[in-house]
Amino acid sequence: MIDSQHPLAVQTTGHTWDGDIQEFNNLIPKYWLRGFYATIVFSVCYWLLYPAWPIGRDYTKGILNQINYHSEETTVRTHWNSRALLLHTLQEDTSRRREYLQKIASTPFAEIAENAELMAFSYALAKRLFGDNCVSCHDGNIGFGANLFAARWKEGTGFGQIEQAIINSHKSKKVVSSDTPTIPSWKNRLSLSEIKALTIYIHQIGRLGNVPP
Amino acid sequence: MKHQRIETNTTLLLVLTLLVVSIGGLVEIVPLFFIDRTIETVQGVRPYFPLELLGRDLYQREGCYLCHSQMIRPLREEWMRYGHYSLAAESQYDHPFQWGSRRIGPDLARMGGKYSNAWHLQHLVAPRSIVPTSRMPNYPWLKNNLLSYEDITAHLQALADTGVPYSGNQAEYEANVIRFGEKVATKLDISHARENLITQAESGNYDGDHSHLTEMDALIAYLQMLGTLVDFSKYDESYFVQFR
Repeated sequence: MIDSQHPLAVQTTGHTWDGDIQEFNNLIPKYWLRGFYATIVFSVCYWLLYPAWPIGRDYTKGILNQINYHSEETTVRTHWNSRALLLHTLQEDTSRRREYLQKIASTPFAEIAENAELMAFSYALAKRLFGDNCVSCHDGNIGFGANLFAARWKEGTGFGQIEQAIINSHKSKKVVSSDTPTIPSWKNRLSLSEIKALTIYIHQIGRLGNVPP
Repeated sequence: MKHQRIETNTTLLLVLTLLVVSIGGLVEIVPLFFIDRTIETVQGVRPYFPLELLGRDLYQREGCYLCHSQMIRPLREEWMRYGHYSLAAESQYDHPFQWGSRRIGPDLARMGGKYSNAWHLQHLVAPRSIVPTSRMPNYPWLKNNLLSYEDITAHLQALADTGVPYSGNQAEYEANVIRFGEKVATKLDISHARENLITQAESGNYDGDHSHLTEMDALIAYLQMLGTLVDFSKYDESYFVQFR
């Protein structure tokens, strides 16, 4: 409400509570107001670039159209899409990790065992995988599966046999025999290179009795 | 109108507040009802069988969703640890979904078939006997409580009313046979809910104890089917990308 007697003083909202309580109507700080306008401008830009508004039975896709991924021999280019981004990341992974995984998958066990570099990678990979998937049952204190830390492989147990044990669904000996076979089929969850890395790791820990340094 | 009028009139304030607050929900949720590709077309997803359904209810009752999520995101780290990202289709029959919002414990979306029934039994009763550093509480009563399933038929009926394809008559049953195959369709029949529940509990023997049908049976049955319905090896990854 304009106070005509003091036009340059901070104005009040015009309302009076309880006889004499009034509220100043200060202007919103400039920095705050500019920030607010900036967010509006930002959101309009965002709508243009990324998928944003529903229209009919579809939605606007945005003009940021730059994710490529491979599908059956061709390269598909699509709007911004987190699934496409993931696929792109997995396919275009030219990192050394992918290189090592491929090497492990294609190299026979005996050769991997002699290659220090591959062994180092394999060990790091298998340690994590073992922790995520195996140790819940195959630790000495738990007893659902064989204690792989004390496996003491028979003379001549090869990597191949351990690999087969991982791939085939294995029955725990400790449970009631009518337990349904919902025991892990690792072939469905792990890739070949992962299974091979685990095979080497399990062979190692069985001999050593604990996790290698 | 002047803000003063809104602030001093309760009804007006209430109505206008409700309107403003609904905008967010309306804009984000309602359009999805009309966008067909929200739910992927994929084979294998089916409603829960009666025993699994009660297991799911126990999951909610015990508050598992407070620490465990069931939504694997399309991120590389999650792909490596948990497996294929969760599809919208996989939770289309959930009322409500159990996506969760925290991972104090690991994501459970693809827990099915990862560990044995006996493992789940011991882990639920005493988590620290398996993972010494676990922060998960003990749930020993699940093993002792008998499963209460007198209202399972009404339960399936209620879900059918909300659109979950449990069959209540011959026509619906036949539609289910076409859609899910006969083996699955028989277990989705509402009139045979009790029998199906008991049969699954007996043949599955989830808690390792044949003498009683316990809450543990139901919960483990539920956990062991999570994430197992879709066979991803049948699909090229680019197929799912198209839905977004």
